[in-house]
Amino acid sequence: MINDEHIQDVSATPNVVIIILILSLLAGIDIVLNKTITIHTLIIMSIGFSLILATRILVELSSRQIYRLRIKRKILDPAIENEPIRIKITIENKANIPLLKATLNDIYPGIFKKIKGYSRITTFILPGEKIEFIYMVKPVIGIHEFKGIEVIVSDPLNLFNYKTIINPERRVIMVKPRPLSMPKKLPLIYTQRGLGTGKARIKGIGQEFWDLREYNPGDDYRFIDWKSYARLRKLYVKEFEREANLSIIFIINATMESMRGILGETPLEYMVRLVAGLSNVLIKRGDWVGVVIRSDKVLRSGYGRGISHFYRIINTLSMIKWGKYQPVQTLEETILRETILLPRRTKTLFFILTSSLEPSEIDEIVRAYHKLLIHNHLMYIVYLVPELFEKKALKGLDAGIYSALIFDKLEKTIDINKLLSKRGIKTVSVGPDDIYTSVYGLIEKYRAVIT
Amino acid sequence: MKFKPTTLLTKIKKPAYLEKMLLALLNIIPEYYFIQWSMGINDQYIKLGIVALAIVWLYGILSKNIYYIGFTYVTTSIILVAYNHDIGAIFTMCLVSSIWFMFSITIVSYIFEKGHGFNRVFSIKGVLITMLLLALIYGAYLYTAYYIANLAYNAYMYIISITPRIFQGFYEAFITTRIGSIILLLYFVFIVYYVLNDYITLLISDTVALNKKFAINRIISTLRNEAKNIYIGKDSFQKLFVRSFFFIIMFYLYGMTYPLYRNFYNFIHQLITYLSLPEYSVILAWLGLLNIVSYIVYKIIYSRIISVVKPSISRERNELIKTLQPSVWRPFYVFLSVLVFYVTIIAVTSPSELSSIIMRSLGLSKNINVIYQNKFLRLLTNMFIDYSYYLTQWVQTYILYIDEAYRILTGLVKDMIEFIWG
Repeated sequence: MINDEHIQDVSATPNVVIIILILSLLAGIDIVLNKTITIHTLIIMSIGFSLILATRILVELSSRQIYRLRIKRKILDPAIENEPIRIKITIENKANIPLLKATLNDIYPGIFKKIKGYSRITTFILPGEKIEFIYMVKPVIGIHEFKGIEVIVSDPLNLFNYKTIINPERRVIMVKPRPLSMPKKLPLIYTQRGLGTGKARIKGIGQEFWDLREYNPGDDYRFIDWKSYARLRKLYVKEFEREANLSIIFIINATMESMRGILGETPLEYMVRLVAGLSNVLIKRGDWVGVVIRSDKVLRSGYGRGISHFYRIINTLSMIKWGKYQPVQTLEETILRETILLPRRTKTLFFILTSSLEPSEIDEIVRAYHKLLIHNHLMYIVYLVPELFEKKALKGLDAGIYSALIFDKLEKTIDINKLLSKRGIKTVSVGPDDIYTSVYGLIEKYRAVIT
Repeated sequence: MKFKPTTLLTKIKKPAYLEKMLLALLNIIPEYYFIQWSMGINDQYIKLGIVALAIVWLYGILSKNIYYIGFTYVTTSIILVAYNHDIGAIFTMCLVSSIWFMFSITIVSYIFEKGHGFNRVFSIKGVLITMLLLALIYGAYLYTAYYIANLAYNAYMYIISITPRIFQGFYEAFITTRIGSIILLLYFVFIVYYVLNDYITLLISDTVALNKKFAINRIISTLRNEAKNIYIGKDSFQKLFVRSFFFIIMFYLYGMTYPLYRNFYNFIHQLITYLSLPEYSVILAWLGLLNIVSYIVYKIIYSRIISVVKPSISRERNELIKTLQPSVWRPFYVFLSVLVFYVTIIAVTSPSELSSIIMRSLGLSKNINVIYQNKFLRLLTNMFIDYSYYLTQWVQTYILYIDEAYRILTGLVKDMIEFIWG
């Protein structure tokens, strides 16, 4: 389909001006020197002008055939961040008019980085011909839109040209995040205490055996231990250990501030990777996880467990939108709405991942925290310091100078932490290297508390 | 951090550099010929200039800029022509080399601006259709240009034979120089081109090359657009018609206002000598003023002119309007009241002569040599006789002045054309 807004007329290029200038100079000098115009000059001039006009008609004809080009865009690789994807463009000329010089420019999302090949080619497409080319880009997490293929039709002398934009069918690409992997020694810290990985030391219905006790009327028949009955002639009932399933909700605050920094190292990308990585681990352990993204619209993964839910979370995370926008809800609204929507009446941990803590936002968070306390929930704030993420991309002396420059800002974050802890809210300020350890530590400490 | 040394070899291997090198290689032969020819000139400064132009040429190649290349070729050609080389051959070479540069850019982009994994499925049918189409279009255009040239030549010869003297003077001044005839020819060519472009090409392209449904839609939409344009008054023929009136207005205003200029001639002449201005300056200033005035007049009467070529659609009449009194009678009442006023004055001043005046005005009394007793009537009669006497003189001088005005204009145009085009 051709966008109506991009339709223009065929326009002349400087080349036409140059040819007309040379022709008129020829005539002028001929008249000045010979006092009249010679037949030779007349013939050259008439040929020149008729060629220009015929070329104009040719370009006009081809410009009207553009919409009969069959253009397809195929993405050959799965879209995962930092994994290069190959994009294949196929163009087929279904019309009877040739495009003698066509420049095709696939306008890929500006945030992507081109690695190999050309997204812009110049070639001729004769009637019935088929052309294909491939280029590679390095994608970035989130939902992105291809703005169509720009087609510039002109003649071999580039006297006239015509520009338009055509949109092939597939336009949107959702790039999935690469989950942050758990540091190797981290699980050992929390398993060497002898707690196991998911044991709660509370009896209940679960898989692990806890104890035997005498049968009381009213107990479930299913749990009667028939082996003990055969041995002792007395009814015993098996008791099991309750599984320590946590319910955790991650709220990603995707503001403009979180998109700041060097692409690939921005706080937003780290938030997404962290949530993907943690939810992978947590879901394997049987915890309940939910993800909420506060951006131009509120994206929710739902609340659940199991591997299919993990894929749901990944899909939600790959729908983050980049760009300038105002979030549709306030942070407080997002948090409270999520509390209402909780299907499970248990104590839930809210992790709020943010990289902007303005005074107004702090007030909002405090208000939300007090309301959460009524419902017996807990809230942690993970503050991703944007400066630390910017610093990660630097090396050597640059990093040293930059860390000296951002010293004041880092001190400010300590003040914010103090302020929030005074109100009773636990806050961790993290950088790119300790983000996983800190957040995982918070979860495991809580798990230790409930045992 | 790793440090990668960039040598010339690694730079040359990059596609951007290869592209420019190929472009230079493709274009070096015409430039070589230009330099070789100009080295025959025995002037050190000219040779230095040619070397400087070669550097400009190289810059043009590297930046792929047609302006620098065109500048080099044209300047070198002018220098060569000034040193007695054949104009036709040199300028043909200049034109061909410029066109070749444009074409070589396309060739280079075909070779280098290819995607990774570029693949093409050829079709022989496509090649044949392309060749046929190119031959048809370019052949048709060359033939049309030749035909129109003949047509234009015959047309203006015919115009010369039938036009009156004043116009003929203009045509003579215009056509005796060849450039005038070329302008006229180009004018015709462009009219034909616009007609082709606006009406015929679109129809041909859409009916021949596309499916029927689209073609029908295109025809309908073209017709609708055309109808709309005509209704608004924005059709190209309507525009041409209306704009031609501007020149007609200017032409007539010139003649009408010339006597005014002629009457104030002595005063203007004194002013010129006092300010020590050249005589042309006054004429040019006057023509400029005339241009502005005629533009204003043109804008005032624009709606009247356009209404001639604009179709008017009659709407249903409001029945109430018919019953209202039309305002046509107002001038009649004014005229009647003036007449009554005049008759009353005569009746009051000399009631005895009123009857004879009425009889004479009705043609019943033929007594000519009447001397009125009344002073007022005598004065009025004398004034009327004087006015009738001088009117004929004024008209005569006016006609003389107009003749003079157009003679001067023709001379001026002739001088200007000869001055500009030789």
